[in-house]
Order: sequence, then C-alpha cells, then structure tokens
Amino acid sequence: MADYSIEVDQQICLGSGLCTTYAPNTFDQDENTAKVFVKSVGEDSLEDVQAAAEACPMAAIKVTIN
Amino acid sequence: MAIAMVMEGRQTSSMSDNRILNIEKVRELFDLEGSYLESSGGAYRDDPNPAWNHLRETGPVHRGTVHELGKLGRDATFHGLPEEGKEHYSVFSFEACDFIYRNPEIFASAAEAPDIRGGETSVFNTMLTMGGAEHRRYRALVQPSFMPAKAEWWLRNWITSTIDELIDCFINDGKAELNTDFCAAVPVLTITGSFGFTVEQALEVRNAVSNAMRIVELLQPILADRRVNPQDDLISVLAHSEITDEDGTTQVLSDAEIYSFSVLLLAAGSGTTWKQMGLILNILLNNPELLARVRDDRSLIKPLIDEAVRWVPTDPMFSRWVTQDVEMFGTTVPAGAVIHLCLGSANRDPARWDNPDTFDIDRKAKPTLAFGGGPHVCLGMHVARAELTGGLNALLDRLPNLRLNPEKPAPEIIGYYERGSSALHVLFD
Repeated sequence: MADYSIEVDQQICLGSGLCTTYAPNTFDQDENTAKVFVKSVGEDSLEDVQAAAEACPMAAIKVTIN
Repeated sequence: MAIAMVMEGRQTSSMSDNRILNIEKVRELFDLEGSYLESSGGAYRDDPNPAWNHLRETGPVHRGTVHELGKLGRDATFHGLPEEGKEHYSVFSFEACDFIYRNPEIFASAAEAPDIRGGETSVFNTMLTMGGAEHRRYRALVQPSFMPAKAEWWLRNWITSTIDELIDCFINDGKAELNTDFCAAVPVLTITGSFGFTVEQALEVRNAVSNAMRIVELLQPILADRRVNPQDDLISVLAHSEITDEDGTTQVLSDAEIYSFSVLLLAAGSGTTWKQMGLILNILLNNPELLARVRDDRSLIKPLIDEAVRWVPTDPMFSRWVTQDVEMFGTTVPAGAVIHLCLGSANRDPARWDNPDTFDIDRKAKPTLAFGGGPHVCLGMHVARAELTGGLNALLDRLPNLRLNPEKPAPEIIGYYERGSSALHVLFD
C-alpha cells in the first residue's frame, strides 16, 4: 500500500503531460481531451510523484502523505 | 554537399525528380552566426552565466533588460523586446520566474489580447498572446496531438523517416556537419510535414516565418483539401476541430483561426529543437567519455536531455506584461512594465540545484523552466523530446566512432537570446 494519496483537479488540468514524464506509472492522459487521471498509486516513488506534482504548470496535482 | 532528400514516406504534390533541399539556403536560414539571427545576439560567444549568477545573487529582481544588465554590449531583441517607452524589469531566480509563470492574471502574455478571428495573421495574434479561458479553449484543441502518448504518432509519420533519410545523405562520406545538415533539418521537416507541406516547400515556410501572409498563401490549398479529404496529419486535426465559445455555441474552426494556429506552430516548431539538438551534440562531442557512456547505455539519453535543457536552454529568456503594481522579492514592479524571465539563470539557481554550473547527467531530475511554465508551458515539448531522442539514437546507431573532426574548429556554444552550437564537424567510421 502506498503511504500517500493523489488528487488531480481535472477542471484546471491543462493536459501538458509533464506529470507523466516524472511519474509515468502513476499518471496517464485521456486520449481525446489530454486530461490527466491517476491510473495507479504506488508504482512510482513518492519522490517522483512529488516531482510530478511540482512540475504541473497549473498546480492541479495534490499529493497527501497519509 | 547537397542534402538529397528522397522522402518516400511523405505525400508530395509535385513529384519531380529534383527533391533536393538547397543546402546553401539551409545554412543561411539556420546559421546562428549569420546575419539572419544577429538581432537576438547570434554572434555572441561568451558564457553569459557568470553575469547572470551575479544578477541572481544581487536581485533576484532588477530594473532593466537581461542583455543590458548582463552587459551584452550591444542591443538585442527577442520576446518582449524592444517594447520602447515601457519600463523593463528582469528576474533571475527560479522562485521568481516560477511565481511569474504561475500568476498569469498579474503577468499577462501580451500587452493587449489578440483577435485571431478578425485581426491580421501573425505569430503574435495567436494563442501565444491569449489569456485565461480563451487560451484554455484554443489550447485544448491541439493539446491531445502533442501529449506524450502521441510521440509515437509523430515518430511514425514524420520524425523517423526524416532522420533516416538525412543520415543516408552523408553516411558514406565518413564526415558531416551535423548542426545544419542534420539538427536544423529534422524539426523543420517534421513540423512542415505535419502541416502537409512538401519537402520543397519546407524551407520556403521556414523562410516565411516572419511573413505570415506567405505562410497562409502556401497553406491555403492544403487546408482546402483537408477540409474535404482529411488525412492522418495535424492540419487535418485543425481542419476538423470544433471550438465551443463562452456562450456554449460550437463551430468548426474558421480558416483565420487555423492560420493563426499554423503560423505559431510552424514558427515555434522549426527553430528551437534544432538549436537544442545542436547544443546536446556539442556537449557530447566535446566530452568523448560522456559520448561513449551514452552510446553504450541509451537509457541515459533521457537524463542527458533533462540536464542539457536545464544547463543551457536554447531560449533563455521570455517576457510577461505586468497588469498591476506588484511587490515581489523586495522590489515593486509597476503596472505597464515588461518583465523578463531569465530562465537560463533560473535553471542554475543554487537554491534548487547543487553545483548548478556543473553539467551532470547523474543528478536527480527536477522540474526546470527550460520549456517555460504556467498555462503557456511549451506545447511541443514532447515532440521535441521525441525528435531529440530519435535523432541521438539514430546518430549513435549508424555512425560508429562518432567524433569531432580535428582539422576543423571545435564547436562552441554561441548566441545570447537564442543559444545554439557553432558548426559540428564530425568524423565517423
């Protein structure tokens, strides 16, 4: 079990895909809208998931450590 | 040596036998040292970073432009310049640049909002200069074509064949000049191909980057064709995109709107990746041990690209227009000013990276500002990465014992607001 949870605000997500370059096993994008969704939690290190959140140009990703 | 381009994979409208890019023209268009790019400081060949480091330490916000403060010693123009009659400020730390990108209401992308339905077609009358909800609506139309999962589509349709056929042109010579004959050609042929232009038209399009009406003229018959005969390319995506306005009405993009997208994407897509690929090859060729390491372990190409765009981003400065008085990092910046973000300096901020001036592909990747940030973050960054990765892999695969030609000058990093490599003369077995 991952010791963190992730929320993506799709209202503000731009679809830049930057998060997927830092945590490719965690984030994916809808092929029609490019909006990001969480496909799996725990497949990337917390450090990489935090880098993905920090990289988001819209600050649409929130990582909460449980 | 001429680049003989036999682009089997591309639909060409004029199937003459003479499908050859004029190499002299390529060199003129893509010569950083030549007159074409003199306005952005192309002949500059020093290292701007010591001056930028000092400005970061003594700022991070200063009054003036980056090239004045950095003591370039001559005038230069780029995004947000010259903007005569306005006050100019520049910022040099990562935190300050990031703050500006993330607050687009205070720091707008233009002095005035564009009018792409009615205004004159130009690179500055595009989504580049839009703000807020309007920008989101337009960007959302093209974002799916540029997401990482689409890299394979770009590679299959345009990038891989371009790369292979360019290398075919010189592989039997044992030597080449990669900066122009390879790095410059890959992105321009990729982006023009995605708009349905023939190889013959590619350089004409590049030449017309500052003459939007010429691009429109060239694009008009292609767009008309794709309206009725959509193909598997970007211009067809645009031709059949629908935009939903604020009032909820949905309509197909007009020709004017598509031309606006086109001039922006063609301009942005044909120059930056060229220079960044040249910079990466410059770094590798000047560091044979690093080149050998990357050749033997291709998983290092990703960290190599990450570190190169951090260490020397090809476009190290972009600008924003200040919409209200703002107190930031100890300085009050007034409404009406133009503020310049020195991304080259932000990417070497010691508050964020240890030994930031050292080029080190083993450092843990951290988000940089190489592709900008905020809602206008580079649309084409994943296509650029696909071009860089594909290009580097192909060169390392097909040119054994790739090395600098000792009889030619060693390549230098040159340019001020557009940084790139001087000629990359190489030998191979």
